[in-house]
Amino acid sequence: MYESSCSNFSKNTFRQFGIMKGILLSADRLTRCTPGALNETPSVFIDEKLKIIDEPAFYFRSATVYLKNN
Amino acid sequence: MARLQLTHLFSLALLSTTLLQDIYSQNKGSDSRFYNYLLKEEMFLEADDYIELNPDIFSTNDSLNFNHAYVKYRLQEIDSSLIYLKHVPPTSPLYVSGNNFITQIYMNQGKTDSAKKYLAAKKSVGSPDISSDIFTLQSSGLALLDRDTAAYHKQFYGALFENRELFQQHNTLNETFNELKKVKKKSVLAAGLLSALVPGLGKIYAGNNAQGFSAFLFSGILAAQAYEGYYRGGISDPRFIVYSCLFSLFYVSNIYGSVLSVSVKNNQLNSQINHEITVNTSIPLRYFFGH
Repeated sequence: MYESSCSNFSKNTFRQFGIMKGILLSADRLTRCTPGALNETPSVFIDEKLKIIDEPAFYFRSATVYLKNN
Repeated sequence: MARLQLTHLFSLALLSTTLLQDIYSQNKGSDSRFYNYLLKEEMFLEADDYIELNPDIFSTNDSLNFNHAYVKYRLQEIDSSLIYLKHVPPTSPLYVSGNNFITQIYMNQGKTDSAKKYLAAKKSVGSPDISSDIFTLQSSGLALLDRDTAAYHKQFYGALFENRELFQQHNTLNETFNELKKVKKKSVLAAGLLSALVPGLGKIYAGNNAQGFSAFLFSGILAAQAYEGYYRGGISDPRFIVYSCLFSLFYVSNIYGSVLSVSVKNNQLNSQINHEITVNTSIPLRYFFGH
């Protein structure tokens, strides 16, 4: 249900934000990986394949900036 | 005799010139009809190629630049579109309409200051009815993007529209404003405390009910396993050690995630509202300049 798999999200978090944040955000992501998450996400963060756009960068800088740059 | 032949020759030449001109103008007419057909069918890639191959279907350079800019805009080639739009001079009748597009492009990019400059330029030039109405709509949209409620109110109640569709679009924009008013800023501290009290509660507070419930289940199952290990084997039981460690990890990550999810949720809602505003203001551009 997420555009990037939990393992990819975790890998990127470790790369971008180090071990501590990596462990915490990866564990948090596992609990967030539930079908109901799709209904709780605004449509602008859902791609054409109905997957949620969720990047580690969203947690530490404005998601709006991220969307504009991509 | 020779004079008669000369007169015939002259008449023939005149006739062929008129005929050629007629064929040429008919071709030009059908060429522009074909271009309009491509726009109507939203075949922008083909329309772009067609403009490149037949630039003479437009009567003026300004018209060529404006149409090229429109096609590039629809193809999401924003930089190229801006270049063509900026080639439309202030003396052109298409200048103000071009400014409508430039304002919209800057609004889409979140560059509200640049967008305002083009709105200001419009006031000094004066504009045709539709463009003026679109500028009014864009001014309201800009005030909303800046979250400037006072400016928005002034704009909304002072707006006069000549065009009925644009007036309705302005009312639709007002629905987005009402949505914006409903958004309440959530406290990061409250989310953290709630998650510390009951795992997942901070996420429910942030507005993510399913994710909160999932976090509660996750932590609950791990806590139950740890408790069972402790109950059967005491504090040194490996099952207790493993599950209590896992529970602690998920418990702390849930608090951390809840704190961050508040700002993520705020960001998501803001992005969604900004998206709705820019969609509202860009619809008339497609509608009025698309054919």
